Amino acid sequence: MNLNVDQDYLFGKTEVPQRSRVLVLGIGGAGGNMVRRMAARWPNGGPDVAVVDTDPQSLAVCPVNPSLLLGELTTQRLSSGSDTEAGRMAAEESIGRLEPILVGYDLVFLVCGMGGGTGTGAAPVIADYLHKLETLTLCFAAMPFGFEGDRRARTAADGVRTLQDKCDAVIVLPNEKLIDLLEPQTGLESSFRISDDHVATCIYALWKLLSRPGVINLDFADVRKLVERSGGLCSFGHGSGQGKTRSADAIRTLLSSPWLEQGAVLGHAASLMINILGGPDMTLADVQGVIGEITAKAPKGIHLFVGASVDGDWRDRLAITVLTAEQWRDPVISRDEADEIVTDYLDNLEPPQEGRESAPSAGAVGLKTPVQSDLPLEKVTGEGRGRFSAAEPTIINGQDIDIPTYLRRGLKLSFER
Amino acid sequence: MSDYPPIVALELGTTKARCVVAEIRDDDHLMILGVGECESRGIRKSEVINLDTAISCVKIAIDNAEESANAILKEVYLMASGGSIQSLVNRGSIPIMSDDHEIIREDINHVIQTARNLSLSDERQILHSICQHFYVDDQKGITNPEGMEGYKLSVDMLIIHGLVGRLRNLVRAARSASVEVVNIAYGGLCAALATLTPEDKHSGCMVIDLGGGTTDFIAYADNAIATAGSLAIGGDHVTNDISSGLRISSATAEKLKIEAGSAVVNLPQRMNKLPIPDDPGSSARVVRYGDLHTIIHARMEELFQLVRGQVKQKDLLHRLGSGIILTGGGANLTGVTELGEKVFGLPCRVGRPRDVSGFTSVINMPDYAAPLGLLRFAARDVKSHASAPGIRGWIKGLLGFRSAS
Repeated sequence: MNLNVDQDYLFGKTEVPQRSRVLVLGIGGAGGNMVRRMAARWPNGGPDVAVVDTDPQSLAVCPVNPSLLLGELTTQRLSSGSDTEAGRMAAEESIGRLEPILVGYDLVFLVCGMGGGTGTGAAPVIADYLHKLETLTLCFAAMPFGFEGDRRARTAADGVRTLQDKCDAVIVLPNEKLIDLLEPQTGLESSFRISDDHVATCIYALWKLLSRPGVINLDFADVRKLVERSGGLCSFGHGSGQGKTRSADAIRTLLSSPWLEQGAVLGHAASLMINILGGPDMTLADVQGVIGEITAKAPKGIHLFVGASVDGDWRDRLAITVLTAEQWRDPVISRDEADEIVTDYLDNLEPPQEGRESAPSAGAVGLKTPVQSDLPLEKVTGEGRGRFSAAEPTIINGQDIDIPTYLRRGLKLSFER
Repeated sequence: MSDYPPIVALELGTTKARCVVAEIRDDDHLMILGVGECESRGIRKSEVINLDTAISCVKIAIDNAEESANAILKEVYLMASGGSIQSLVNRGSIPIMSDDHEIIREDINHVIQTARNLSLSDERQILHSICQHFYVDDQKGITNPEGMEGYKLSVDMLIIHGLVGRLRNLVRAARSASVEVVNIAYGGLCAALATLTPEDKHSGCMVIDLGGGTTDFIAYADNAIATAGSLAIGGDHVTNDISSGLRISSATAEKLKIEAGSAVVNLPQRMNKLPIPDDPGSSARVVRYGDLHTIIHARMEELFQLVRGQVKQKDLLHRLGSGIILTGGGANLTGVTELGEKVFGLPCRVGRPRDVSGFTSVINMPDYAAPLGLLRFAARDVKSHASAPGIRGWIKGLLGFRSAS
């Protein structure tokens, strides 16, 4: 997949093992298009790409490999028809087949358009699954244009909220803001391409940063830290420049970036990651100038992560990508533990009624001892196995197959949602 | 009408103990004379977990069969299944020493013996050793090398083997029910014997027997059995998943699975409500079709994927021109062939026993494919007097129950 590594071999360069594996997964029509255009921008190697969709026709013309048709049986190969529920079910049906595509990555970027069926419905299911694999998941969610109507906007907003719970962070791309940036005569296809360019560069810069040591190094742990403490919502910005004035141009375009609300987002950021990508001709003064100017916009005491990396093919060119979050939550407990504690807390709730001494009626939430904190574990090893608790467990590929498949796959039933 | 005495097949399945009595006609047609069934207890994943209850089930099934066939049953053929059953291919080679280097019958027998002679660990017993292909001086794919010339003769044998302890428990349960076990056959092989046409075997196919406790699979490629195996996953798992997911009793879950289950989720139907019959001790309520089908789909898809992984590993998927044939109780599940087609990317159908008559209620059911196939195995075993000594000797050698009379 990665041509760069092969080239290094060819030219006898010191082999640098890839440190982090990154996948970009396009979900649904919009996501697939974005990933297709991105992949075309990385002819010399970049992160791995994959596409999933419920629409066999758009998959058939998509050159991205691997690709997977979701919900062949659920939708009868007729796509989700803008039905979020159908998108969700399609993903649930096919999640087992997605596994070989998703396994083995440290960071997965989900790219999808919100407001339709597949992106909105399937992305949370896939994100949930990635969470089980303990993969860091960032989702680029492109919001619909205003002219697409209120209903779509509402569906999209709901979808982002769902995604925020499932992903480590969601980066919302308000396409509507693109209009401010574009010349009125810009063609439709090229308007989208501009949006894609921004996302593609951001992903490429992060991949570059993570896949080999930069000059000023940022590593996977830094990205994870920023993303995990972001409270689930990030923004990103991108700027680039060429020629003598490349740093000044890059900063100017970054600050006028619609995703950063013309730099206003930086003003109330709690954490900020600046990544500078340049050619071998990038100078220390470039780096210093860029970082100085950007941090000047941000509040004091911000959690700052800075990285710079060099791409041998770049000449006279500089790109800045910024990842920022408004929140910085110091983690007291991990997400899994948090789930557990919430459950326990609910389990231990006493019924808000008088006569606390009297035994609670059967079936009501009763007084429970703190011993119940073991409950989730028991549920997995004992209860799920049900009638097989007496039989020898069937262990395949390290999984206890006797535990219901839907539980292992994290599928939610209608009454659990 | 027939030169041979009636033959009896006994299956100690996870869901049911089944006993079928039949007569072989000279044209290999099977005439069913009697059938006996009993709901299984004491069997999990096709293996005995409670010998006493298992014995009582076998007794009832045999009694019923005796009554139905109006005969006293003394000897049975026994079916073996369970996750411990595995297969491997062992190649044996011999030099052809004669002056003219012509391969004669003795050479063939000799090379087969060599390939069969495989040292498994003490806890494993060979159930079947099946000839796949011969090689003459590395020329591949020869079905009958007799009369050919060469310096070296080799053969690939597929060895199907299982754990001694598990097999012994099955034999023990049958013997305690006062019948002697003549021979044991692997359930997947039986299902294939019952349902496959010569064309299926020729163009390649796979039989998946979806049992209550285990799933047996066997793949044919180029007229030979290419691989076989068994997974300790079956209909019981589906029932258990439903019972756990919808929080209903196992009995109700089983009923829902049979009456309303589907291996694929049906989009228009998914929000429809399905009333659950009253469980003793819990009030009646409703569940959604979508939930029921999601649970079943997840389990069945995983099961098919695991089987697919096994045949893919052997590079067989593209050699199964006749596709997938499903047998066993699981083949009755709605949408199961549709799901199979999706997972395997091959045509998929439900297998029905061939060349059998009598007891029409039984012979058309995919559930009975394996026991009827066992009868076919038995018919062959009776006719070929030169039966392989291996497993028969082993059964006779089992001490401590009933003396092999």
